[in-house]
Amino acid sequence: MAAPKVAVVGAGVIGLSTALCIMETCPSCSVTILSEQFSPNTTSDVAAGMLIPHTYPDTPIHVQKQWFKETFTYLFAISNSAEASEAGIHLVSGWQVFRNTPKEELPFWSDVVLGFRPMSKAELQKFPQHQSGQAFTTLKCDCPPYLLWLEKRLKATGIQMYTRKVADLWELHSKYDIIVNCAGIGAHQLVADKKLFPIRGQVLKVHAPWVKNFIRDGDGLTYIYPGIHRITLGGTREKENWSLSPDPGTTKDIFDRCCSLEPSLQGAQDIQVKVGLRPSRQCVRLQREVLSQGGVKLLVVHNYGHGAGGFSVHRGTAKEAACLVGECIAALQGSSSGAKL
Amino acid sequence: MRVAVIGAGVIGLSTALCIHEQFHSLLPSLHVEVYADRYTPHTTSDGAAGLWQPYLSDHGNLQETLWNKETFDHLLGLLGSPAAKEMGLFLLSGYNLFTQPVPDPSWKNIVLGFRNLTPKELELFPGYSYGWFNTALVLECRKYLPWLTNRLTQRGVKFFHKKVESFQEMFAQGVEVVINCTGVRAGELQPDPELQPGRGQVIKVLAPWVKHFIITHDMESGIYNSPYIIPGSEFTVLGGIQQHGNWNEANSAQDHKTIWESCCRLLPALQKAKIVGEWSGLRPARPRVRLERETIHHGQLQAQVIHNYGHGGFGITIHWGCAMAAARLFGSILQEKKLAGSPEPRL
Repeated sequence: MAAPKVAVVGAGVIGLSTALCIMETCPSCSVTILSEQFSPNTTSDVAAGMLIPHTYPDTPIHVQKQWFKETFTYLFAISNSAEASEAGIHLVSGWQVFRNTPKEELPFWSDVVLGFRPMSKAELQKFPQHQSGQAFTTLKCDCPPYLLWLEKRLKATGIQMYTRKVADLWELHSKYDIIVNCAGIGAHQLVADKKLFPIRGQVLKVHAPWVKNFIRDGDGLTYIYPGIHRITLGGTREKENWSLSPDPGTTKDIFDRCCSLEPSLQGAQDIQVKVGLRPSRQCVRLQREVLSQGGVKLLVVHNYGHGAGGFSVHRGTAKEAACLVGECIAALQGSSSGAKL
Repeated sequence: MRVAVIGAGVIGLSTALCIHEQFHSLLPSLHVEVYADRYTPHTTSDGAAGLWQPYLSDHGNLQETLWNKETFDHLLGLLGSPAAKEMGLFLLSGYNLFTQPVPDPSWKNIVLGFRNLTPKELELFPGYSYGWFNTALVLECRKYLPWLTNRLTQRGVKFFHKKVESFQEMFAQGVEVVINCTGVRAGELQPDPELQPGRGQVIKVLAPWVKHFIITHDMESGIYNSPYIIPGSEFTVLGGIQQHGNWNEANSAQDHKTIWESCCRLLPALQKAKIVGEWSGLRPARPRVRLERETIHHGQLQAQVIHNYGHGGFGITIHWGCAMAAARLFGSILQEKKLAGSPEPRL
């Protein structure tokens, strides 16, 4: 059969990295990216891009760990190369602090990040309201740089990218053999996935270049993540809130909570406010599906629902999605007379 | 009583502040003046990256270790205060790298979270097989010296832009105590063969993605003669030059090449960094800090000099402990002159 034609829907970190993995495993594929939004207007652009995994309740831990490990290893190599600054990848050290000591001793990812250990008494003195903590070094993917770097690498492979809102996957069946659904929160409408829901996050991006360490409250609500040019201050976790408009009361609350963790932030300048809707789900939907309509079949690979953990597992899930695309191609090639299944 | 502090680097200004803070209320007639031919941003202190880190070994000099600790603890206490940003004070974590195992340093329990590097971390630094990770402080003198100057000005301390040629010159004017914080050029006021310049050169780059200090050590070349990278609040400092006995303050193209190539090898991401400046300075190197009183005869009178110089490449690291020690020496001078009364509260 002729080179398989693949459409990737979505151009956030999941869509772009999945497209790149498909090109790496199947160089003869013709891949097109279709997305309503591109950087700097995707959900990914709002995120800090810290490699600290979110735990999905319904995905086996060993799978999540494998995804994280693959992602960490991939980004670690870039951070150590001349491309690091362009890709926006850098190492950052810091602390996760707990008001109440958590029950579990070690998170599943503690041996993937660098230098993970409990905080010393002296380190904890900086956080009088917290009882215990963990110190470690991890990676951060700054957006937009990381997405722009992915786009650049994709364009070099000849991939086409189009701004287009896809309302229904069936729109694409005549032009494409395989659809890869990386629509993130858009999947709620696109494939009517009622298990997918937004968790609204508001963040501040501020100029405070003397802050070099990250600080995260173990409750996941308050965090300070130093990026290349700006510090991301967060945040909120508002389930089922679809509003993309910044809330001024929330802005003040985030700023106050962060200043209480890091007082020097009082001197932060040029505060920008952003909102993103985490595409949340009990487990990442990473699977093949064959859609049927009037005797016509449509091969789909889903890769969405990464919630708060998109950056942490993006490369791992992209590689798995690329494998699933490979399986789809094999299935297509196995069909008689090249007709679609 | 007139007190003249000679030198306006980190040592001079902090000593002036310590003395004024501690004794002005006890001695209303105290007038502190600062004399220097160079002020911020033209002092040796201004060129330093400002990372708090003593040398690897204290050579059994416990006194200096205590002064280093006093400085760290003092700065750590100021971190959460509104002054921190204006002072140029912030926390910084990072790496010390070695080609062979070394004993832990005297300061391992002073800094935060000191530990050895894991094998995975060492993968970041090919050629280095051993190392430390810890969190320390940065105090940027381009902000700290103006901050000290403001505090001193608020207290009524006067500044004079002039090169003092001799201690006698000060005494002839009626100064009773001179605080000698003249750094590398102390020898011009009183010969000191133990004081030598330790010339350093640094390249300043824009590399805001670098969030850690990285200091390499070559046990053969000696301290600061091996590449180091120290991020600041505005730019990142690349260095690794220590030339004993070299008085040349001009930048050297050869040293530039050495620093640039070795730092890019250490951190490939630097290759894309934009160079925004270059600077050379003379560390006031001495086997130990000279911090002591000296009585100088001026005609019939006895005048006092408190020496506080020779802090090598650890001036910022040790400055506050030394300033406090110098203030104690000043207190003993006042005691002898029966000017300050008993420092102990009456039982």
